[in-house]
Amino acid sequence: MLPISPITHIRHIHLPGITPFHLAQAIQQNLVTKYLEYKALVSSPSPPTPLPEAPQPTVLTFTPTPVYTTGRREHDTLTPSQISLLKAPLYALSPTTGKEIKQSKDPKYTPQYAEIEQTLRGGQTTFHGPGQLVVYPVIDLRTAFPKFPKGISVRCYVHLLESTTIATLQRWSMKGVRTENPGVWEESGERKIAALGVHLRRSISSYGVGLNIQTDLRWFERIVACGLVGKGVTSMWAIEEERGFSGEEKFRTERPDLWDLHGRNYKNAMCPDLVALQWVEEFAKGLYGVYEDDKVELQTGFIKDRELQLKGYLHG
Amino acid sequence: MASIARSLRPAASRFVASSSRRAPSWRISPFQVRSFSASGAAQAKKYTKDHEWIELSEDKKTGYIGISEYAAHALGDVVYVELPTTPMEVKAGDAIGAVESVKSASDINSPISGTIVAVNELLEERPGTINKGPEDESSAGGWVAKVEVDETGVKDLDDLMDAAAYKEFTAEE
Repeated sequence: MLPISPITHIRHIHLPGITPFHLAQAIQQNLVTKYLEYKALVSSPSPPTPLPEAPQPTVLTFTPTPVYTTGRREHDTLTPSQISLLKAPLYALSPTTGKEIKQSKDPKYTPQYAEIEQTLRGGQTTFHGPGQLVVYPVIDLRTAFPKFPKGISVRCYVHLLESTTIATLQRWSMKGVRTENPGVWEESGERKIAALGVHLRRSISSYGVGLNIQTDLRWFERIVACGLVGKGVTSMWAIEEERGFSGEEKFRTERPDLWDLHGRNYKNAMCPDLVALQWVEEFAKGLYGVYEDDKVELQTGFIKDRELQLKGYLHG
Repeated sequence: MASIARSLRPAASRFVASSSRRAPSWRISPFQVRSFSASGAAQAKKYTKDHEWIELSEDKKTGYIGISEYAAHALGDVVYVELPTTPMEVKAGDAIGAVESVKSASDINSPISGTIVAVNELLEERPGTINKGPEDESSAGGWVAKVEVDETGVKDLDDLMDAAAYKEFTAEE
């Protein structure tokens, strides 16, 4: 029987800017592999003594290049016409007329193209891309956390991802709700704001949440998001627009430090970098009951010489 | 990324090879169907820490693999089961498929080394069967795969838990 050692803190690896999706996948795979190798080692007939240190529970956050990902049960089910639709260019919109700009030499109007990737997660086709925060916690669910002394069941884990996302939205005075369909939905339950899909291999988690912050929602028009016909998709910024930016004043007065940090611009402040920090703080609360700076070790990742380099910071 | 490619393999080739799975070689004949009550001749069921079970036939040449009652209950309603292509040689711990519920896909691993020679096709059409009888290896049950076992496979059984040890293991979780 393996002794369960309580984990004292989690590591947050954030990749700032926009990361090629396949690169973020490779980083996640690397984290998972380290865990699986450790598990294989300690459960081998003759485990080494003393045992090497267990890998640290890690949350990887990033914003990827545009990509449609398919869930496990849909592999090879896309038809050629669906594929060509998903791969079609998405044109920039003219700021004055709102019409698509199909021909322009201005690099800021270059059309965007999405890739299609198969993943091992549960759930169905979804979109990830600029303006969205993707959160991949890689943790061993069979580990004792203060709030989960006997480990985390699959259903509790999905619930935790949802409640963490709801708490993050609450920080922006937005109400996220659960419905009979997984994911997190805006208040009415008609439009999804965060998609969810998880893979578990020997109780090691991968994949997780895609939270729309300022995602171009036109990407979702090409798919029936998560297989739910008749339901829509929204983003935090879209909700803010609908409520007449009532969150801006609150943000400015409550967090003058963050307001200044983001150039006194609300649209800049509502960014994946900030929401990622908030999400991981809420996740730490979900696991430890409280959030303290020493519960999360933040590392900012950047790619140099084709390798992931990490710079350490303290969270908060 | 090699491990991604490897674990994708069962799914990727699943559709191509599905016709071969319909080969008559393993079609359950009335003589092969064993009801639960008549399974006394089988070897004792063994369990993994990842909640798979395996039960060998009396001659120790074949066995059935599935997920445990405990796992099926913990997962909740199963909406999709990914099955391996056959035949498929596996080592103990290799992924042979996945079971999906509430937006999470959990790998199913082979408890022992051997060759997967048949899968429970019923699970493709009715994945919920796995909730009703995850440890049932009859034709209407929720077993996942049938495996041909060699000596290594039989030896692998020594590393697994018997029913009593597994019960104790899950009580601690």
